[in-house]
Amino acid sequence: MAEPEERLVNLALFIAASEVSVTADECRRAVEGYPEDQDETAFLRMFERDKEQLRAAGLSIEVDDDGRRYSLDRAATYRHPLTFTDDEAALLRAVGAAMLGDKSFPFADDLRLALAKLMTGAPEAPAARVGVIGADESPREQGAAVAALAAAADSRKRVAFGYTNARDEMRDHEVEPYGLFLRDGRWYLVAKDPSLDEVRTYAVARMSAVEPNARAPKTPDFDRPGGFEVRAWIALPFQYGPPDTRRVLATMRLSGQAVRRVATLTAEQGTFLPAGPGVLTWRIMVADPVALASWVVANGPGIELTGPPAAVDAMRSGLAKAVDLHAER
Amino acid sequence: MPSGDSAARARRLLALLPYLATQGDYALADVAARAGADRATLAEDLMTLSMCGTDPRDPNKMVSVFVEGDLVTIFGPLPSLDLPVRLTPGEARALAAALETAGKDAADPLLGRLIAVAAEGLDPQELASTVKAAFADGGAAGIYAVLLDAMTTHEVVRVRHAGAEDIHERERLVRPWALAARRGTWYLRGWSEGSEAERTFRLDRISSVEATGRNFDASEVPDSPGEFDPLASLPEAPRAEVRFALDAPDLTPRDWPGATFEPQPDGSVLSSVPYTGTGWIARKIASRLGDAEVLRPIEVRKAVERMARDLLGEEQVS
Repeated sequence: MAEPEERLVNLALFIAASEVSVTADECRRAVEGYPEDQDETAFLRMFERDKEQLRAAGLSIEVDDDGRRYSLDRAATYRHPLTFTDDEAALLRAVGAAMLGDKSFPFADDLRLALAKLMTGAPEAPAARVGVIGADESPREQGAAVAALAAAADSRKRVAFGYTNARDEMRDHEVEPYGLFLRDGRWYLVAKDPSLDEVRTYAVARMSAVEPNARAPKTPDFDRPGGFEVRAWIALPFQYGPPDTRRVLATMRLSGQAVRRVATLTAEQGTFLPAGPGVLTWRIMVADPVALASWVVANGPGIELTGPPAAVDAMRSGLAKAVDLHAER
Repeated sequence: MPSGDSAARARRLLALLPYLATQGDYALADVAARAGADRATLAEDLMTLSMCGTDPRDPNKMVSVFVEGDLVTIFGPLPSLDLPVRLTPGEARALAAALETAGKDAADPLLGRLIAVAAEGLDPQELASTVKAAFADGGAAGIYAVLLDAMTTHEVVRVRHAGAEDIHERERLVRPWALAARRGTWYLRGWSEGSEAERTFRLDRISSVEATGRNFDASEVPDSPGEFDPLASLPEAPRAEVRFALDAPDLTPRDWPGATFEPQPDGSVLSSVPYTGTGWIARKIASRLGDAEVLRPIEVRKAVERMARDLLGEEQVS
């Protein structure tokens, strides 16, 4: 008896090779791997699941109008021809090797398959020396949890998990996962807690026993709000706390290397206006002006704080104190 | 019913089929490199595929592949599925997330082209709306690509770079060995010809890089350079003694890699902080806005004072 994966490959090859559409019974007779003593109902259940697995692999299996005959939609199954430059091939190989080597990368299996599908016929490129550690706290556990959370967000299934907050208090949660982001080596989940009717951000490293709702897997548990953008939920250190605590408008002038690294520096939060050649004015709502002042110093050079006065004053007095503490006695 | 493992393996086997479309002898290592698989797994997968086909009674309708040692022999045409299959939404998202990490965001032409060719109907912006794995700075992908190419060809590069303490950039000639990302920041490791020493540079502090056309000896590249940890040199780094005031926030090993913390009876905390450059630690201490004092060494104290004065007097407050 063929192994299940052999049966799946045999079924894919058979349907793809057939000039005409085929019935389930024809598949059963031709494809090696379906048990001969299996009753009709059990076979049809197995056949349905097999078709779903092949569709999940990217094969577009069509059903005739009568619902009894199956064929491969070749146009929808095969990708278009693709050519790479040497540089593009080298880049993809390097990125692939780096991300597949990152234990915290949640989509390693899918990436491996994507590259296998794309790189057929690509020019040879030497192995590159690139290493990535995306999430550095329990990377393997974070990667596995994010993979499960992303799948739940895609299928709109609720997720239960234990969560230990910053005060070391553990509580069980059941949430509706909307999206995920990686920031400063930590993955975060943006999800709605239906019991509070609030959308919150959870650090994945603080979660335990992540359990997507396995009941009725094809039936969504919730709707994600239209136009949802996970990046809008990323907070910088001076914005921590509920969004309604960000009541102060800060303005900064960015120049030099701060402009070059503006996306990673600002997480694309706030608004940006050109203020001359190579200079941007950045406006962003702030919860904690003192934390903003500290952040500006920590992330310079190239950031000039122009407001609010509370942050400018905190920066001046704090730096003056640092001078006093470190001046020669 | 196929288990999760069987289904995953079947997906892998199906993705391999187009690699078996052209008859001939191939090195197992080459096929593995092309397909992104390790050699042992690939050999096992190819052996499994050799038992698959559309009719087990007819050898001409089976996958005609044979593996012996390091040689893969493809001795007949595939029964079907000899073209690459499109990406699934999950595969497209994985690709987008990986490329984003290398500075190519959802608007990048390469990602757009790959999605258009291999996952028609999917929108890269839509993929990025629910999972954000990195932020791509304009120009970062170009710097990354030049360095990648120079690493491959062992070519010295000219880098314009400003460290944490530098207001002005400096030009350096660097033999690029490896790139590594840690907590979302990319680093270049290499040999600085001016300093005659191994150095690590943050890519987001590099404004431009160009190949010089001059090669260096590949044998000088250390083993496994791609696995270097930008923070790994901390145990041997010099240390500064720092006193944090009572109730100073954010004193965690994560924020202060390699540091030790000793609470004092008066509520302050004495800390031993490793540092690889005075610019880094001076900025870090200055950003505490007066709740931290470097006790020693004197050069770090002076660096903090200098940085705080510079920030007060020159550029960052108006």
